[in-house]
Amino acid sequence: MKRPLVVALFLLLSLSVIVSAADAPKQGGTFRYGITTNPRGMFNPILNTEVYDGLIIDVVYDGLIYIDASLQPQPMIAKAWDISEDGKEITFYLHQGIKFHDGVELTAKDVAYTYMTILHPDYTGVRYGQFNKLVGAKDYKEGKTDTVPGIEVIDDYTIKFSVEEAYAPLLSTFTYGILPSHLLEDIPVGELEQAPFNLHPIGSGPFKFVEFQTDQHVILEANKDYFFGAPNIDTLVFQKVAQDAIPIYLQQNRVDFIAISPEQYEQVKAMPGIDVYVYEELSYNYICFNMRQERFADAAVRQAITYGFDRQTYVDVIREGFGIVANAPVPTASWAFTTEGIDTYDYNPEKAAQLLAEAGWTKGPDGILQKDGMKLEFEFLVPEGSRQNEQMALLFQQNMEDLGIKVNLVFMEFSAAVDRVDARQFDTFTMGWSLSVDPDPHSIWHSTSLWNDPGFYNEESDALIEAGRTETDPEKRKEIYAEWQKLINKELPTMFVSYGVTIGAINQRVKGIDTNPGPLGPLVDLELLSTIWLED
Amino acid sequence: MDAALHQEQLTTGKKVWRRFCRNRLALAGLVVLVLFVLSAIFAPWLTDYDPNRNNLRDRNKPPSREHPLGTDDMGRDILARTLYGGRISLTVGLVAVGISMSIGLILGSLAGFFGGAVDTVIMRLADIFYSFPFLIVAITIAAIFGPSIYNTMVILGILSWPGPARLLRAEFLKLKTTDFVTAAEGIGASPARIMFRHVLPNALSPLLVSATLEVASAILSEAGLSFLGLGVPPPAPSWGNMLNRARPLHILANMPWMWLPPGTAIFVVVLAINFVGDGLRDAFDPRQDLS
Repeated sequence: MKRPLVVALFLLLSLSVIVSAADAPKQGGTFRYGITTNPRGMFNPILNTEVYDGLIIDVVYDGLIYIDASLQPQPMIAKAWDISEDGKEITFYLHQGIKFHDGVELTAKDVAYTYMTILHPDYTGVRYGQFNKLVGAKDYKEGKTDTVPGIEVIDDYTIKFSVEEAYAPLLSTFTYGILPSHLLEDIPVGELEQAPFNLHPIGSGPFKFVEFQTDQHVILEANKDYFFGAPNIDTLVFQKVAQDAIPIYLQQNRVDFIAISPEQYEQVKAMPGIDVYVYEELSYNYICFNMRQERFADAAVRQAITYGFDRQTYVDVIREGFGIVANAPVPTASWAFTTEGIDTYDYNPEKAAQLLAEAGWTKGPDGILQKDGMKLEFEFLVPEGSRQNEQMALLFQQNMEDLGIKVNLVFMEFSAAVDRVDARQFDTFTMGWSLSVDPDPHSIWHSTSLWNDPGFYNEESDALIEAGRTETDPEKRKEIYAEWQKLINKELPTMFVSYGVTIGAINQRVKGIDTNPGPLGPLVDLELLSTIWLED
Repeated sequence: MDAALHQEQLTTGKKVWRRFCRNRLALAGLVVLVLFVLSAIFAPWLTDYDPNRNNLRDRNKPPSREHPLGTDDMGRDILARTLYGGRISLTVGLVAVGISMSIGLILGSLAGFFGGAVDTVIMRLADIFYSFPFLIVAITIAAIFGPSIYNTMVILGILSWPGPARLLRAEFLKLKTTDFVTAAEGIGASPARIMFRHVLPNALSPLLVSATLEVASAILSEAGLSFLGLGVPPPAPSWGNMLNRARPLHILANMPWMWLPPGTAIFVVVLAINFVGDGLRDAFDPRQDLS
């Protein structure tokens, strides 16, 4: 995907170049990227909802812009852009001659198709909220008009977007991969989700999709005609690896890069030929309450459960220190992170019990807390595959048992768990969010968001989220988000468990990585996949 | 007549028992088995630890005075988990075999006694069940209904009834032609009386032997399913899911106390049951007296 200019890359690599002087990048070879969870097979940049699909999407498609290692927007398909004085208009100038994998040229028409589809009344994905500020978007979404004045194709290589009011995260939302309109425009938008295209994606990115075998791998081959220069490697494989088997796969050189779990750190670090990087990601994991249920509607219950769960032990022992206890939805790696006015909910079972008692919960004959016919006995949905998740679930279950809350663990395959969550058929569940660079929480936290899993409807929160989007002064935005985090920290629609600290293990035969990784890791998400090379 | 019959059976029982005792291996197996059953029943008296209670600050500890067999990755006492795990593993084994034997008993008797169309239908059904690859069906069922102790028992029971059914049918076919059945028919006994009173008791001994061996295989299957994460769900311990938790490489390599106890328990119990089963088979075989 997003490949920086060659010049920039060589600067980045200057260190390793000194070591092996005059080394030109070697061509060929297969790079294996280890994943522990299956993609769902929704390889469509405007419809996917999971990071595992996102991995494939990121290398198959290119967006107008990309976000670099220091989280700044950089030109991609758009070679340049203009933002008007008032911040309401943004014009992208596209490169000429960019081709999709089927040889058809990418033009402004494809860009318009991609973004118009997101605004379409029948669109089933979750991205609408990010673009609803475009002029005419609302009328189009409601079916009142057939056009969106806010998306204007000026010529084949120029496209202008205009918004009703200045909108801070606007530029950074134009990272979504551009879809080939010539293959998709005849499919009704409402049926796009079922289109075979999603399993056989065609984009304009550095890698072409070859095949997807559930529980095994996704294979991609280098796009030799890639506009920004063909990748050095020939083949890219996303290899499914069971978490327990990771060290073996690394030892036998069967994966080149994989995120390992904390308990594997010492073992993997000691392996010859493997480098280990630790970096704070833009992510956090959480336990979501279904606030549609009356028992979770009371903030005191959610706070009590948070007080009653020993998250520090989870981070210190289960994650072996690779994590940071989270109390709000903006991770440490973000510029909007704050601790001011944020309650830390340190483990305090007495306080938890007291809060529950004050809220009117009393122990029933079975030892389980109850109130007005409601019971604090609930299902806790845990996606399978991660040992840390399982251990967290066991700790949570026991902590809750001490409070008189009965937690029934349900372990489920990740996709199955997502289906249950999407259908709102859950009491509580745990998952994680991987966030984009802009802290705008609209797509997850606004009450109209399709990702509003907890069922959180709060006017004050919505107002702050909207204010944060329209404010363009970063300092003021930071204040707004601090205010908003304070509110979420008090309301706790989900319990924040920990901010992500990832341990990436990478084979030393891989050259051209970011050896001082920021939140995007040593491969800078997957940006470097098109420029790294492999030594024998 | 009833009294005479009773006497006769008693002496048969005694004979069997005497023959069984002559087989040292079988006797040793029985002793081991009884010890395991007792330790499972009296687990709460043998350990003070709650097998499900985490104590993360004390996790991954090797055997020590406080924890004779060490602790697992959640800081739970391995000895306690092995003892309580025995409860679940043995219960699953017994109940699963109970289910498969009950189904096998009913269908096998019907098929063997009535023959004809009934026999054909039941035996073809048995063929169908036989032709399912066990693990794949078990995994599918567990995936659909979710892993639980009860599902595990039912899955194991339902999938393994054709064995006992066939065995019983064969016994019935053999016994149907014997003189005492002809005699019973001659004095006008009803089919039900012949079936339950005369044929069934005589057909039970091979079934008993097969049941014993089935318990061993059910324990193994439970361990297999739990090892794959489809059997007994956490936090309840079973020998299989204890092994499952010990699967990561660093545990296999460096923390043998996590997998040795449940692994040894499965090995010893299954071996013991097999010895007992062998002993029973020999003991029930009247030809043994000739030697």
